[in-house]
Amino acid sequence: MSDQPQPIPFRSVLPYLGAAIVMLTGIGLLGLIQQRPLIVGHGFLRIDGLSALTMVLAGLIGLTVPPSWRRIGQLGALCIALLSGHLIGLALGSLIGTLLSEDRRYYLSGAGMAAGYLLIGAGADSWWLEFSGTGLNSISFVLLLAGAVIAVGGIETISRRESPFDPLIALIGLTALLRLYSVGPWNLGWQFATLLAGSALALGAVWRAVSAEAAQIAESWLQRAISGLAMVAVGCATPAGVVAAGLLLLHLVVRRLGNPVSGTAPWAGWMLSGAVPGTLGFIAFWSVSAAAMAARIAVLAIVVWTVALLLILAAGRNIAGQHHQRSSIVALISLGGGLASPWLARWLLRPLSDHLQGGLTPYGAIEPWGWAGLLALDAGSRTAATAPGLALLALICLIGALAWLMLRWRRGV
Amino acid sequence: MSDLLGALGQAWPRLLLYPGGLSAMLAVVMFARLRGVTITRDRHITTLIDTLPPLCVLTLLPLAPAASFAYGLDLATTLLLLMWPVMHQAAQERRDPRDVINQYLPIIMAAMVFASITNTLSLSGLLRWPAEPLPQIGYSLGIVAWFVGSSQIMSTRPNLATACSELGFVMVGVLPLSAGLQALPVPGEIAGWGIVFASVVIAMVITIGAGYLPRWIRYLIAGATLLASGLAIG
Repeated sequence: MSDQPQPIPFRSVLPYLGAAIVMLTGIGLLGLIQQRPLIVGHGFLRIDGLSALTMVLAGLIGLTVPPSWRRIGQLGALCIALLSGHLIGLALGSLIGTLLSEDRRYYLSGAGMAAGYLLIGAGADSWWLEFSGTGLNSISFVLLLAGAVIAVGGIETISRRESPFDPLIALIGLTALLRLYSVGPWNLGWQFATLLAGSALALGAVWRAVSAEAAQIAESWLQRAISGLAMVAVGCATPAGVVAAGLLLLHLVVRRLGNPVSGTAPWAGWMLSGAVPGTLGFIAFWSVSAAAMAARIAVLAIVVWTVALLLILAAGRNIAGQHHQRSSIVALISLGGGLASPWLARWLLRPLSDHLQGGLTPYGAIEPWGWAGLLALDAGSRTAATAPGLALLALICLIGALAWLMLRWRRGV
Repeated sequence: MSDLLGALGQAWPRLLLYPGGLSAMLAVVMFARLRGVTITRDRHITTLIDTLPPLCVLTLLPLAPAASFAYGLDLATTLLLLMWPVMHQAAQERRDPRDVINQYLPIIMAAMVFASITNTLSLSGLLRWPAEPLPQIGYSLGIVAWFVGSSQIMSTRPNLATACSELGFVMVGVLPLSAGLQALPVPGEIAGWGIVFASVVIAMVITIGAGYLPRWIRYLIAGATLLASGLAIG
């Protein structure tokens, strides 16, 4: 046995390098598309808020999954789908991305999404994304929704089988659904179907997460439930919903980066769970509930918040093991991200809702609330929900200091 | 950032005197004594840290006659902060999640009624008494359901943090109740603190009384209220 460190094989570095390139490209593109989408090559390439944000998320997810050529292929396919301004590119990207998965059930998901987009193209006057609204009908929508539901974990939730969660496939599914807003507005029936499917997925998955005994299994279900909530947010069909979906996916990625299941300090584990006001997880859960409230679906807002509370409980039940520095660092990043949410909402998420505006309804927006946190406004610009993350955290610290002072004084007396 | 610092600076009466600070601590100690908690036993640091989120809710309640605070809470955040001590305990002890759900489901149903009628999650929205008679009936039923739900969340092994959380839940119900009392056609002017005091007394009586009801009746009340409020606003 030699004590010399073994060189890291190039084959395992390359997927991580690819993921980092995709992420950095996404960040660079975000800087370029702040005002308007970038259309290149007569519309073949269409770079907007959704493409740039998803590239950042996909790159970060690429850093959390085991390295393999399939993953590089999936990232490439997702990029094709995201950057394509043509429906065939979008359909092919979604299909190839899912076909490269090890799990055959996801082939069905890719087939559904591809068929949905191809059907839109066939029925529309044009195959270009922006001019294909006339092709959007209930059959194509149902195919796309079914594909997205399978991608997020619909079959696992129904079949009661335990299998690991595939975040890249879920991202492909949710992105395919979000991209529909570039095609055209949804009708109320489609919104209702999406809200119903997302809620059912989230409720089913959170129940499995909270009742699972093994931490790894609970974590898989927890991530599926977060993706289900993202689907609910997409179904709101409002700028607030789209922003909430972005925040939930960001939280999902941060949680994967922190990997609290492998061992974490209790404080870091709770921060990554979303229980601490001001963290990214808290802001993400709040935003989807706020989006539902802003859309005047009060019962859904409370149901969504109940799912979030159960998710926090499920995450809290599995805080154990040896303390890993990585989870602590990522927990601090989550706190930083949450406190910087007003800035994230302006720079990272506003292009997403602005560029999908054509397909969205005006029933709800999430706005920065100074530096204190975020604010959800309904269609009449009335406050629907408030998340004063920074103000709340500062108040908790002040109350804690006061309580500590009183205790010291009582002991002194 | 200066807005935030200014708001925090102006919030000192709220933080130190009412509804937070001294009055909150006194109320929590009294309520904890009522619940049979010995305060000296509960000076464990974890329990004290668990007490902070519910104390924060008590501090930020938009109760009369406290000065308003620019960065108020909403119902969702309030639920999370108030449930923190129980969630922390349940996670540490790996309690059956069905227990937690059973405990909190009626109050969550009452929260649905509040959100449906006020059309906002903001806590200050709970102070807006509906103008139409049907939503008024729904809202009144929601208030009763909230206190009935509050009686179900009472912990069987209370400590300072859970007592603070339970008091917080009752005090959230005081907000719509005080709005209702304010709307009553009473001759003469009643001071804001008088209405809050009367609301707290009524809230405590209903909550303690509902504690003697069987669990299924509490569910029945919560479910029927949700249904009735749905019909009322529909």
